[in-house]
Amino acid sequence: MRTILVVDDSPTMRRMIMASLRELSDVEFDQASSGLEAIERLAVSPVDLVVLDLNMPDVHGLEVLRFVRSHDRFRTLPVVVLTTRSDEESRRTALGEGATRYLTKPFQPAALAPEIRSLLDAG
Amino acid sequence: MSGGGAFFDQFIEDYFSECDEHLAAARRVLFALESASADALPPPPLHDLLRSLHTLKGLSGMVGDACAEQVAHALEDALRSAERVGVGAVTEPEFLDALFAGVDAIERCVAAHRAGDPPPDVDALVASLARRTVKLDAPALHSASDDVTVPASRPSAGIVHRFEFVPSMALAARGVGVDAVRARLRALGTLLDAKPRVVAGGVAFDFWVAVPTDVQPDASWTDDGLRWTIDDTIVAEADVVDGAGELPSPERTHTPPESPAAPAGVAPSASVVRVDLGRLDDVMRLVGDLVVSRARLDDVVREAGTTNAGKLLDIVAETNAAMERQLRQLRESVTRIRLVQVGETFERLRFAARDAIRESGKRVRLVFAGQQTEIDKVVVDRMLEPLLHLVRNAVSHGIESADERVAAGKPPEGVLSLRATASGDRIRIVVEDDGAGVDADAVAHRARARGLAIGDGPLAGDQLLDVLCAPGFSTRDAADRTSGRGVGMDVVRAAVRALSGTLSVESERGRGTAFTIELPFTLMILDALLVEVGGQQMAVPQPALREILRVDVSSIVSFEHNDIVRYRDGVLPIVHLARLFGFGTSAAAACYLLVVGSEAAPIGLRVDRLVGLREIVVQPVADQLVAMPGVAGATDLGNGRVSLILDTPALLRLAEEERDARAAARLTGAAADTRHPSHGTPR
Amino acid sequence: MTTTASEAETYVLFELAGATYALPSRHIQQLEMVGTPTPVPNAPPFVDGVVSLRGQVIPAVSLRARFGFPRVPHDIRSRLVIVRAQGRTVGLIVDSAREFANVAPEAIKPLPEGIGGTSGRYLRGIAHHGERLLLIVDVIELLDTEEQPKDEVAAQSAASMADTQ
Repeated sequence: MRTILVVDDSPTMRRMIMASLRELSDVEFDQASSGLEAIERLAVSPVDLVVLDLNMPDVHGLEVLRFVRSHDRFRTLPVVVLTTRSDEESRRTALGEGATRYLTKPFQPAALAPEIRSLLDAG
Repeated sequence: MSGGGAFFDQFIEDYFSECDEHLAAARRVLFALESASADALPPPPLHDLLRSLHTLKGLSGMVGDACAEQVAHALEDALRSAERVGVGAVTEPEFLDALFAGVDAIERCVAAHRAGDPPPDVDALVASLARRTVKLDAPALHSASDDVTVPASRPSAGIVHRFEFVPSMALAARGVGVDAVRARLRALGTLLDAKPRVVAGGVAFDFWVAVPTDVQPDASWTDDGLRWTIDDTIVAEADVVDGAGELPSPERTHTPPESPAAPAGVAPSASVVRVDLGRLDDVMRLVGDLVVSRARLDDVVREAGTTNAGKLLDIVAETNAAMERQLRQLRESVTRIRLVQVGETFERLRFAARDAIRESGKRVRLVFAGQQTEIDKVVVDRMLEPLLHLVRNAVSHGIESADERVAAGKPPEGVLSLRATASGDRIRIVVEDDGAGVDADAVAHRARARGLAIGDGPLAGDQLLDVLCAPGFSTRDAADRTSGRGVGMDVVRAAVRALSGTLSVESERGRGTAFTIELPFTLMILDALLVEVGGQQMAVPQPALREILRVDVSSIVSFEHNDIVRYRDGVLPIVHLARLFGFGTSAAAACYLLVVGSEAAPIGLRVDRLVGLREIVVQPVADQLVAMPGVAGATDLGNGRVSLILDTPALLRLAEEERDARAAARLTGAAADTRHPSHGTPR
Repeated sequence: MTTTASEAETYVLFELAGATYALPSRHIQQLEMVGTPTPVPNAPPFVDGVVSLRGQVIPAVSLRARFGFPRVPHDIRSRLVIVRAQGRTVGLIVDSAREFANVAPEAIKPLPEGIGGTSGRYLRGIAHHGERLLLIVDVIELLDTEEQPKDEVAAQSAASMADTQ
């Protein structure tokens, strides 16, 4: 059983993301609605992959990513950034900070699952 | 870049609900911006507004509401660019107008999406926002506005404490997580900063809180993984910053303190659970089913009284009484959950009134009272448009221009007040202005000119209201944009009536006008199928319906005192409602059968026409003269006429009795029971 | 007509089949146009249906039918007299209702022998008011539905309906 941590301050968005990944077998979900909560979930329970929104009320997603990558434990944790920013500059910045993948919203539900599955299989 | 469309339709209610929240938050910030700018105070921080817009954009894209997505995107870009230019650009009146217009447009887009209507045309608005967007070099992914500034309106005097929270699985299982801790600290004092830190084996969170001198953190918090010390190195006065925010130390990521107090009105309630209205309605339906079961029990009790059931009867009667009590309590607790504060609606009215006030060029102050008054969410949702019309009316027709007012010895600024009070089981909402009052003579003149029959005496009270509410009536010739959205006083009254409410007016020339709306505290709402039976419109509760069939009358055959029709593998017995009720029968070649009853024993109720699905308000039909079996209640469909709501189980029993009586009559050759007028007798 | 010192009571007067009736105004909530009552299946024949009033659904009773008179179509003078008594609110359809009158209790005389039958049951007495004769209605009896009307006219109309079957 693998755990995917879905981080987004919009509860509706979190539900949509989880619904899109429902077809993945052997997967359960944890949720966080803020940057600090995301960090907390990572610290206290096992997480195999993170779907990370950038725009959050307290700590910005990039800060979370930076913090996470600075920790030995999470250096290789797959982090999929899922954001509405679609420009090339933002993409490069995120990947530079250590994002494993950079995906944009809105997304096709069918497009999200294969990306996640490939990362889980590789890990 | 399109969303999943149909796949995400299952979340459409979540989408609407979250949109409502973000729109309300956006409105609050906009009003705070406007009043800060008017009072020459530093503006509130923009990050919440930006986040709301950002989220609205993202969610709208996912569900395919391109209109809302477009506007939110344009607003977000325009706001970010103005912010980078400086505070002045954000609070500049024309820019604020554009922001208000934008939020209004998003609201209309979402409403259209919800109603299934074509989206409004937002091209002009988006273009005008784009013109205001200064295209700077590629916007930083993480811009200054994403970090938070401390609003100077909340100076954080007090002693700065530094809290350290180390999370753990055990704590999380108890519900003590970083969010809960943060909320706790916010309640204690002003949260200045929050930052994660790597520690051996995990993480820790540091919070800096300015605690008022007379307050102490609770000693038991150490059980929750919290430790704290006084941090003298930090000065407790907040840095005064302007909107674009120079951060005291750029490397620290700040946690936003309390957002500035919402403008005059609703305090966001902390201890509220978001409950899905749909689930609540399910519970209400269950209550409805229980009511039916209890009614059956009632019948048994009555029948049992005639036999010698003795002790059994006592037990049954006791259970019956207990169930009635429980049902009542259940119903009360469910209806309590549906209650919202009327203040939320007032805020939305303020937002909508702003347009009308600006356009009229008059000076109008909006005053609210009784915002905490609670009312059924459905009632208040349906009252929004009517109240809006009354407000717009008061602004365009009621309140005079500043010059006129001064000439009349009044203060130049008009006052429009919305007051809500609760008394007994009714809520009263009064929309009152101190304007010119209704010119009853002009109204009477206009009415006569239009051929409305009114007496010679002066128009007042209910009669005046009747004339004002006559469809299409207006004392202004020119199309009035602010009141001209197609909602007239007749619609206002119809909406109030449909909610079992009452509307009344009081007006005095030169002093002002007050409209009073009285509404029931709670309502029983039902999803119903409206049908036509023998020329009468009736409502059939949806939960009772298994299926609807359209059949040719010719395919119905008579067999052993039953009308039947081929159905699935067998036959479906039919109850001809028009005949059962003694209404005229239709000569049409086709009819509709509403399949009700159980899976094992379905029955088709024959009706002439399907009118449509509706959410109806159930009004009890209590008087003994009309509380007949088969009638579960009545509803006012808004046209002033009453439609009966059918009680399907009772109908089925009635039909059975009727059928047995007819069978018996044919056996004995006597005339049937005269209590039921025969078909063909005009009523 | 002179009234004595003891309290005269105010009555609302209404017309029905050529006669003038009076109802104590304390029982009267308001006067309305008749509108279109919604028929209620299986209700007593004198109940035309229900109407919605101030958010409440109340019965609309044809007093003509109740008193055994033939029905006539409603016109602009027809009124729905909303009556409140014993916790019940009921609408009474009458030919017209426009006047008020003050009648002292002593002015009300018992019904003469001649007036019996249907309406007699619902009358408390009669009073002279100027040149007119007012038939004072007993509201409680009027609204009482425990007994079925036993009078001949009602029985006759029921029988005739059965014959047309």
